[in-house]
Amino acid sequence: MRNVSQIVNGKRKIIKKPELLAPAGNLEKLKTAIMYGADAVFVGGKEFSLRSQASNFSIEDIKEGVIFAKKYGAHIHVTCNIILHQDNLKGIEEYLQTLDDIGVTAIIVADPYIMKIAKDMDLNLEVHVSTQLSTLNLKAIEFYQKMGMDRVVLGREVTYEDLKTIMEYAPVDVEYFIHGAMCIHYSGRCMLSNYLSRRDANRGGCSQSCRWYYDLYDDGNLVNQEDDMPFSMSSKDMSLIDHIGELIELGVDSFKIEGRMKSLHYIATVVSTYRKLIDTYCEDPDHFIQDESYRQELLKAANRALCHGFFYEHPGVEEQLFNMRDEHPTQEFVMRILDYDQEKHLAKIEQRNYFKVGDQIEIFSPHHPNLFFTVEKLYNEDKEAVEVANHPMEILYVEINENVLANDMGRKVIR
Amino acid sequence: MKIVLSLNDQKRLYDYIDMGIDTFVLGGKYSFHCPYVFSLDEIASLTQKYPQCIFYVAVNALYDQHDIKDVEDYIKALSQMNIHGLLFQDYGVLQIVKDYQYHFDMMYSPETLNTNACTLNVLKSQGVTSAFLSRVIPLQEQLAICHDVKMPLMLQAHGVEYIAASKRELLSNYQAASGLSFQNNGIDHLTLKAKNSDYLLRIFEDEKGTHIFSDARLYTLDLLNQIHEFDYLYIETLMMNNEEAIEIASLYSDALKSYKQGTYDRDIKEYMDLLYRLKTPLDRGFLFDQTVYKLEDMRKMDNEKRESNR
Repeated sequence: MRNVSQIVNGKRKIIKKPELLAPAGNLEKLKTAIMYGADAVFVGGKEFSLRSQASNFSIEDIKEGVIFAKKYGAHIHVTCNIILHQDNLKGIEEYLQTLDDIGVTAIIVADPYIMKIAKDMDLNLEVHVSTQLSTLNLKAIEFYQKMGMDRVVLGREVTYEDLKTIMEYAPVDVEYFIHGAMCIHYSGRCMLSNYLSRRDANRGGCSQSCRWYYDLYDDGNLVNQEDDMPFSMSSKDMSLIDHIGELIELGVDSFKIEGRMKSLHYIATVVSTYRKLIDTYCEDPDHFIQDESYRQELLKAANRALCHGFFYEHPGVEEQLFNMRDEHPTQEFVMRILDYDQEKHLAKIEQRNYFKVGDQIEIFSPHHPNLFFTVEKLYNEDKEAVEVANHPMEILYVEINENVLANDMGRKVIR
Repeated sequence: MKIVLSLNDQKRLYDYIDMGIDTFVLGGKYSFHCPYVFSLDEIASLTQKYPQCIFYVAVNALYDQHDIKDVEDYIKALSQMNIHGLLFQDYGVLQIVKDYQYHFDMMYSPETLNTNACTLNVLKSQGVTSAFLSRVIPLQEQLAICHDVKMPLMLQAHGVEYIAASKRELLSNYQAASGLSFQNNGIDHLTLKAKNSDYLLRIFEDEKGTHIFSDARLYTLDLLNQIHEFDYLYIETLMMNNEEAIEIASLYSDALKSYKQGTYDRDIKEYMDLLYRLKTPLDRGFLFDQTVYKLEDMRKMDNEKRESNR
């Protein structure tokens, strides 16, 4: 077992804190993830990256992200995780060299050709094996280690029991998913999207056909009649919020949050919740109490119902979504604080969703506990009193009696 | 160019040998999906009884950490038989074979990942000795790969196409959630159709999880002039009954003989007529089609679809 703790002044402390790795689909999300506590952020470039529907980063964006991350002691990982076809082979070396030159910490790779090129080029950046390769065992990890890989991102199918064995002997860093959406099929081995919508899942075009509704036929006879539940292959999202302590004790090197296409509010909420939980646990693991508030906080941004994925064993019926989808967060992201005048108790905000005078708002922040207020006084940019905030990204002023900070966010409390 | 067939019934092995087919893929305890699961004793018996045949064993699942020791023992047992090679997709299997210096032809068969020549040449340097090309790329790309890769390559010539696999029990879960009754046993009862699609899928569940295949059979019987440079043409007999498997093997075997004798162009019409008489659904897969993945291409395709539906 890896040594993760030591006794300091008679109290056990975690000395090997896992990296908290967050997703970002654009620069604003990248910066937010870092400000809200991510140790590293993974982004997709315009080339060689999955999630082609996410607003992927230009080289200039990545460069700005790296500079920003360095100010916070954080790192940027870039996904280069498509499975290459014959027409994707050009330009890889130049691209990797550029990423290395601008200070990217790691690339996340699924194709052995890119692994080989990256190692042959003797770059400074690390090469991480993508979850697209569905790595589930130590022998496969050993194969990648011999190819010179620095880290393996495990498949989501790895259970806690198997992870324990893997962590005991893994010869390279191990990254484990702790939160986010789950592929229902083995990653990298699913061609549903290719066959049903002609979109290449392994090059970023996945149409998420698994989440569609299907008719099931038994020897040609329709099983699900019109009023019956349609067949679907949709997973609930995974959250290991209740098991972070166990994972820290195993010495997992990196905790990955999935979701480059998720919203700013989602990223801020999820990152900040795990950050606080990890820090609290590491400070005094033997007296840590798993508080329900962490889970409650996550639920405020959850797009879907949550489950434990493969943590225990095979996910059953309770871990799947059929026609019971819950795509709506229970609280709505309505404002981002830009500045706060402590004397006038006036916050300058950027509107993100409709709210009005009389609404109750919950402010959350990486720096202080959540606080609540009711909107009583709201002004437009010309300091004229208004009743509603209904223009996206409009600059407004709102009276808040408690101190808030720039980059705090506000959610409307749904009663 | 030779035919490789997934063996569905050992009683029919002699029929296949009689047709001139001598290379077979055997399913076993650690196969991802196969038309028949041969025990180690059965495999040993086959290899002893038919020393003139070349046998591969499909050790082609993705293996959990807690199973890897058993997989290791299984491969060791195979190494003591007259097994020519392993089909695999988990690099853990390759690592085991390298660790013990077994002399198998290691055919990398990940279903979906063998899509360019450069990657395969890198894998050759890592111990892969032959490869099974992905079906989701056009024939032109498959041919380009064939020219540029310096190891034997296999192409699926006929049979249902692998589409997806899940470790979860998707059918049992649906049964529990919906309360509906259906035959969740065997591999050939259940089909699926997406609400917005006409494409028919086969689905079945076993102890390894849930597997999805095409209902239609990929066919290349009339394409031998184009695919003759591949080393192996694979016939997938999964979801075929004995009669269909024998008929298909016979057709491809005869077509191959015609090709070698220079009479293929004359004979192919007759072979195709015989194929159509089987009345099985046939498909070209991605041989003459391709996928999109860039946002602008996906939008363009969606717009074209919308226009054509008006």
